[in-house]
Amino acid sequence: MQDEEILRQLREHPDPRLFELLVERYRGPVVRLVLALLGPRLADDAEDVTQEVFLRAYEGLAGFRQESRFATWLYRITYNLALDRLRRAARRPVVALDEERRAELSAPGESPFEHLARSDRARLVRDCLEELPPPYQAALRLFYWLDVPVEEIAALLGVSVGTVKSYLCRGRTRLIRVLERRGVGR
Amino acid sequence: MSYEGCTQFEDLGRGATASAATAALWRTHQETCAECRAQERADALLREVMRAVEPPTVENGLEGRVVARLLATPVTRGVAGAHLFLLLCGGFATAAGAWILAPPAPLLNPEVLRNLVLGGALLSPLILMGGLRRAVTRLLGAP
Repeated sequence: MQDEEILRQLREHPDPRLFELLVERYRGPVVRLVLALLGPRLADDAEDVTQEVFLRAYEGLAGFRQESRFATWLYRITYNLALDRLRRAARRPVVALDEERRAELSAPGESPFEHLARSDRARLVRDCLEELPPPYQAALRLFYWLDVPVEEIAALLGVSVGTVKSYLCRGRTRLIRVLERRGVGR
Repeated sequence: MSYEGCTQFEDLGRGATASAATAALWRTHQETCAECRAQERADALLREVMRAVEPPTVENGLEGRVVARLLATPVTRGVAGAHLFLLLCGGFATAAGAWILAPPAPLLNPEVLRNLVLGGALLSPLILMGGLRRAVTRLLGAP
C-alpha cells in the first residue's frame, strides 16, 4: 500500500494499527537520521527519539497537507526532535560512556597501549566533529559511520545530492581545521 | 574521494571531456593541491575513526511499542482529565468550606485563602498536564 493510500485511510479512520505500517516502513531511515544527528555519544537515546518522532507524526497527521511527501515531512520532524535532544544534552553534559569505548573494535595484533592511543585519538576526532554545524555532522556520520549512500542522505536531509556532496566536502575541510586548532591531524 | 571534492579541480577539469583525461588530470592535480590533501587526510581519518565504532542496533518491536503508546494516549488523557476534575472539585470545595466555616472573623483572610485555593487549582492541572501525562504515557506505552 502506498503512503498516500495509508494516509487517506488514516484520515477516514484514525487507527494506530494502520499507522504501524508507516512506522515499519520508515523506522530504519528515521533511526539512521537520529543516530547521525545524536552521534555515538548519545546513541542510547536514539530509540527514545525515534518513538517520539512517530508519536509526534501521528498526532500531527491532521495538519499534514501533503504539500510534500510524507517521508520529507517525517524526516523534518526527526531532524527537529533530534536537535531538541542535542540542545537538552548540551545543557546537561553527558559523560562519555564506557560502552562507547568498549564498542570500539580493537585491530588485530594491536597492543593495549596502541589501542588506547588510537581510541583516544578517535574520541578526539568525534569530539571535533561535534563542533561542526548539524547538517555537516549528519552528512559525515551518515556517510562514514552508517554507510548510507549519498542519494539516501539527500532524501533524509531534504536537500539535493550536490548539496550533500558539498556538506561532505566542507565538513571534511572544517574538521581538519578544528583538529589542527587542537594540534592534531597535521 | 570524488572529483567534486575540490573546487580548484572543478575549475581545472572543466575543459576535460573524456573520463580518462579527467582521471589523469585528477592524479596530477592531487599531488600538488593542498585542499585535496586536506580532504584526503580527513577522509582517511573519518573512515578509520567512524568505522571503528559499531553502530547501535535499535531493537526489533519498535513498531509495537509506538502503537502501544499511541493506543495509550487517549487513556492518559482520560487519567489527566480525571485528575484535573478532581483537583478543581477539591479546590472549590476547600474554598467553599473556608467561606462557610469562617465568614465573619476568619483566622486567615478569606480573600487570601480564596486566591490561594484558586491559584493552586489553576496551577496543578498545568503541572499534571505536563509531568503526569508524560509519566503515565511512558508507564502505559513502554512495555
